[in-house]
Amino acid sequence: MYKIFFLAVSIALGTTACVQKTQKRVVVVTVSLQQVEKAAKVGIRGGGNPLTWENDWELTPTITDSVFTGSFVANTAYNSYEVKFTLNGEMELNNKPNRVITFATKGDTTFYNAIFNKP
Amino acid sequence: MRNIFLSITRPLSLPHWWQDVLLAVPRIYMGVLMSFYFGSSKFGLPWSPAEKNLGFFEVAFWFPGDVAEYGGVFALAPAFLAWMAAFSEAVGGLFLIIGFQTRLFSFLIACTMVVAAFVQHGGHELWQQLPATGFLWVSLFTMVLGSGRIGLDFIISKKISHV
Repeated sequence: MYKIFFLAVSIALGTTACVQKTQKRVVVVTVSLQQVEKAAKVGIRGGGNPLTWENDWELTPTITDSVFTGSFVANTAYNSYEVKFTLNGEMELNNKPNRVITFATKGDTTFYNAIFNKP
Repeated sequence: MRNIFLSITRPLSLPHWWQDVLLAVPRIYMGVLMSFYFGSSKFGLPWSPAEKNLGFFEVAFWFPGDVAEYGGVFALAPAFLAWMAAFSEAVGGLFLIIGFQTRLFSFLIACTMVVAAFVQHGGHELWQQLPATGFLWVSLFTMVLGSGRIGLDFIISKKISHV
């Protein structure tokens, strides 16, 4: 009986070791609007914690109604992160592929600059 | 031992070859989808997408967390169950394509799909349950029939029977 228990515990521990290891990735995004939009609210959406495809992660204006910036921390094992920006709740790049932010290989902070609605 | 192996491996023989060929189509198609699309995105195989950064035979980092959220028995060993589910899809799919140990892997896939259809997507719209139930129905057939003539199980069981 103890052999079965030992085997079960070994398998459970063995498979736990086979889970992808995650690391914290800090992403700093900056997005410029193509033209100044009055009272613009710009956000970012993405696949996986902490971003979602349903709700905006709001960015703060560094130049009012023109340039917006923000950061988030992703606890992930992937090399990249898929996102899209939003303007007043409307998602950019309609019917086009998501933006892919590839994480920096040096350091844990990735900087990503983009122009809204331009891939 | 040999008899047990044979009873698991030896496929049921259908009266005509064309029937085996016809039944191999959903099995192989399901295997391709499982191993090269659904499974390989969460289980490390040589053809897993590079951006997923999966090591060989590694399960995706988010999967055990998802499994644990099902609660009950799933929360007891989420890493093990997630690994088994991903392994069943990715490796099981490959074995379904070649028709090797078809019944064994059909059983593993069926277990995984029961959970996917009725636990993960339980209470969701039927459309969301449809992919998992589709795989489940095919795996039930292959669990009963085995690989048919189009598979390694047929060749292996024939050779062993003649030894």
